[in-house]
This record gives sequence, C-alpha cells and structure tokens, in this order.
Amino acid sequence: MPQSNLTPRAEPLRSATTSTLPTSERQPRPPSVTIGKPLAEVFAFLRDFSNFPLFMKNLKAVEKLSTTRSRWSFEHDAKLVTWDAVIDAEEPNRLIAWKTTGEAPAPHFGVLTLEPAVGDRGTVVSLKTDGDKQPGKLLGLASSFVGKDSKSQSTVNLYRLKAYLETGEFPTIEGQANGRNS
Amino acid sequence: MKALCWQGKHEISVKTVNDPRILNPHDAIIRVTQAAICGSDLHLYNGYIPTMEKGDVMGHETMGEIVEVGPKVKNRKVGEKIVIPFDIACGSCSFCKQDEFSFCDNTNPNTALANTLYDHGGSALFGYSHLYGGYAGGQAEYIRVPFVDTNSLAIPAGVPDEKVLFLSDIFPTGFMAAENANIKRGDTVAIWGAGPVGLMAIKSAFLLGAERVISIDHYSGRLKMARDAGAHVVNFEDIHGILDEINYLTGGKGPDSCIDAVGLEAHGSTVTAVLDRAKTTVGIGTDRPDALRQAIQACKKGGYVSVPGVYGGLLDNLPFGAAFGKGLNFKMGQTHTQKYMKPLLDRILADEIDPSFVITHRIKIEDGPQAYKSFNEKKDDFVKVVIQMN
Repeated sequence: MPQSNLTPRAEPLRSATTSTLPTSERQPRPPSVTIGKPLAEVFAFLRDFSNFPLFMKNLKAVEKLSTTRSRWSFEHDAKLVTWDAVIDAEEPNRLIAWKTTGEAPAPHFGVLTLEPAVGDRGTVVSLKTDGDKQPGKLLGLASSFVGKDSKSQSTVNLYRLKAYLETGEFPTIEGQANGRNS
Repeated sequence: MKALCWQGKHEISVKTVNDPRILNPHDAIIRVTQAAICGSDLHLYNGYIPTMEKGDVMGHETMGEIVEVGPKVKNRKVGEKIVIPFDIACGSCSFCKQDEFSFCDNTNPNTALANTLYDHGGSALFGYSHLYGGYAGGQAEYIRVPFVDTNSLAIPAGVPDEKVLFLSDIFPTGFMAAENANIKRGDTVAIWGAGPVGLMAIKSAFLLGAERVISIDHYSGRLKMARDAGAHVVNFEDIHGILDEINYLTGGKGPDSCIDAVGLEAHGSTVTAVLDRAKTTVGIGTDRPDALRQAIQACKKGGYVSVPGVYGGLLDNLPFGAAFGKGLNFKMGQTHTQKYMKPLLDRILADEIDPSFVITHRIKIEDGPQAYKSFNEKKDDFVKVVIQMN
C-alpha cells in the first residue's frame, strides 16, 4: 500500500501547485467540498466513524471496537458485507487516515483532510481512497474505494457529507413516484 | 395516482403510479390542484435533454394543497395552499443564503454527474431529467416537495389558482430576465421570443421602467399577445432582415438591452440557423443559438444581454468579437424563483399584473399526451396549457 499518502503533512495542504515529477507520474487532486460549518465541528463529526453511515453511500453501520478500530457493514446486492478498519494517522482538525485490516474484499485506505476555507467561509474537506487493485476480484462495492471509480464515489460521499452537515439530510429520490412500477 | 410520464422521444403517457411519500424529514406531500406545461418541457419531449428515464413524471409548474408534512417542517401546515418553485433549494447552503436558490449545492443527488458537464452543478429541478436530480414532477395528482419551508409560497384564501400558478416559473423567470437587463427609465428593450417567458418579460420590462419593448417572433398568435402586452412587434419572416429592422427601430444605436427568451431550440431561417439545425440533427452540435447571436449583434455598446435560456451544451459561431468590441454585459441562468415569488405575488394582489393572460388551453390530465403533441406542432395556437386536476 502506498505509504506516502498516509504521511501526515506539516505545511498547508493546498499550497503546493508545482510538481517536479514527470507528467505521467503526477497524481490528480482528490475531490473536495467546502462545507459551511466550523472546522472543529466537522472534524469532531468525522472523527467518530459511527457517523459515516449518515452520509456514506451503501454504508449501513460502523461499530466502534476501540478508539482506533472499527467494523464497517455495507449493503451490497441485498447482502451485508463487513470489514474492519484501523485509524492509521490522525492530526486533530487536519487529517484522519484509516486502512482496512484482515480479510477485506479489496484492501484499501482512506484519507480525509480538513482545513479552513479561505475568507473564513467554512471548512474544506477532501477525501481520497485507494488501494491495491485486484483485477477480477473486485466487487462493485470495492470498486467504490479502489481504482478509477473511487474518485467519483468519493465526490458523491463528500456531497452527501456537505448536505447532511448543512441541512440535516442528504438528497434522495429513492422510493419516489415513477411510472416504472406500473 | 395518475401522472404524465415520459416514455421516450415524442411519447408522453398518462400512467397510474405509486403515490409520493415523505422520504426526508423536511418533505411535504401536496395534492396538486393545477399544473402547467412549459415550453422547456418540449425540450424533454423532443429528446434534447439527456438522462431522462422511461416512467419519469413530468412537470415543474405546480400548485396545490399540503396534505402531509415531515417531522422537521417548521413553517408550512397541512391544509395550506402553496405554489411550488420549479427549482429545489435547501435554504442553508452559502448560495441559498445569498438568495441564489437555483445555485443550491444540496438538493441534487446526482451533483457529481452534473459536475462532469458544468464543473459545478446547480440545484435540482422538478421533473427535468436525472441530470437535475430526477425528482418526480407536478403533472400528477400529488407531488413530494423537499425542504418545503424554502420551496413554497403560501397563497391567501380566495385567490384563483390561475392568477398565481405562474409564480412557479414563468413569471419569476420573465421578471428576473428583465431585472438582469438592467433597465433604466426610458430604455428600449428587445426581446426575442413571444412565448410565455417572453410575454412575462415584456410586462416585467414595462414594470421596471422600459419606454419601449420590441418583441420578435414568427408566430402571429404569439405576436398578437405581445402587442396586447404593449410591445412593438416584429415578425422576422415579414421583414428585410432582423438586424436591419432593429437598427432602424432604435435610431441606429441598438437596444439598450436584449433578452433571449428563445433558448436552444431557435427556429430561425438564417444561414447559421439552418446550419445549427443540421448539426443538431446529425448530433455534432447541441444548441441552436440564432436568437442569441442576433441579440449580441444588435445590442448597443455597453448594453446588457439577458439570457433566461434555456441552453444545454455547446454553441458554435458565437460573435464573441462583437460582444467584446461593444463591451457587452451578459447575465443568465436558471431563475432564483424563491427570491421573486413573494414580491411578485404582492404585485399580482395589487392588480399590477394578472399572469393568467398567457393561458390558451385548459385541460384534464387525460388530455396531457395529446396536448404535448399539439403544443409542439402548433405554437401559433398553443401558448400555455394548464392542467386542472380534480
């Protein structure tokens, strides 16, 4: 698993806009949202992983096993898929990083970074997930966290997080009226 | 319940579908009393807007009576009569707090998809494809309204539905278009399109101080309504050339502002318009901006070009050199309906305007499929269709 993504950083997270790497090795930026809530409030919400089902797609429950270990239960194809995770790195009000442990369907890590928005306009949250790719063994669920779909899934989850923190709900049309059922 | 559902290009059906229910705590369920068919519904009917799914409930101009509210609804009560804005806003994000409701961040579950087109998707809309959230619309017996405290205007008892239904979309849209034209007392405003939005923009322009409004279209029925609204009308099929005519009408200076109330399905017969249609037929162009090109070309130096729209994709051959050379100001976008609903209701109740003048047809929901077909084919006769629910 690439370690450099898990290394806590001391300098402002958005400062470096130049890269000395060759073009082919440059990484795209992780998806970000700006949430109109204070940094400490957003960090406290995210540090408690049992809040993740309130916004993370298909996540039904997170059971805290200790201050750093947790068990995540996802819904996939009408079944529950479970894996454990451990907090790998943490900087108060800046960074939370976790990785799966044991027999996860596709081992991966996640990194949430937080910083105040420019102009005192809230909190910027970025989310990156990735891991070793296992071609042929990926569930549709695991591809949400690993590989090329992970960025769009992180974007979806960040927008749901923003909507939940700003309004108390995230937008949905599941179960609405439509002519496909008739 | 009964609902008008999109079944494919040129195919609308009345279907019996599942009733809406409360899905989120700030929702309400409304029994629809009246709904309208919009010109922009025809973009869906004609297959111009991607991400429609068979069975999607149509309609974004809706009013009715609240029959159920979610547990976190604060200001609305069962029994109240409300008009519902076409754009869905949360009321809490940074955009909503600035009254920029159609830019809302928090109502489109498919924002990530919208971002792939526009980089930053705006609010969800009722009944207007999954790109805009896929919300079931109001051409139905009931509708679910998220964040009803933000997305409703309470109507006093005794006010006829027809007088206020258009606060849902076309009156705020025409008014915002006129406001965006930065009209000063004494100005001349040229408005392309004499459909309902154009007609509301004509009336709004006069309310905002315009001295003269030039209305441009080619449907004589619509131009008659524009003339009745006080405009000087121009049928672009009966003149030498549109730019020549506008230049003449404005003493060689050009209109102070131009409003493009035509959007992506422009009908013109100029060379560029014909090319546009060829491109959209073959699939290499998406929008037909002939009205916009003319508006840019005609406008005075330093004037305002106001675009209530609708545009969807990419334009070819836009005279941006003319726009730059004349230092034009552009204002555009989906209406921030919630911002305008109450002030415009006040104007209606003060008898400054009765928006029901645009209605040409009143139907029952069973007549909906035929009405779509007729509306699309006979725009001279069909200006605004209102569905009266039981």
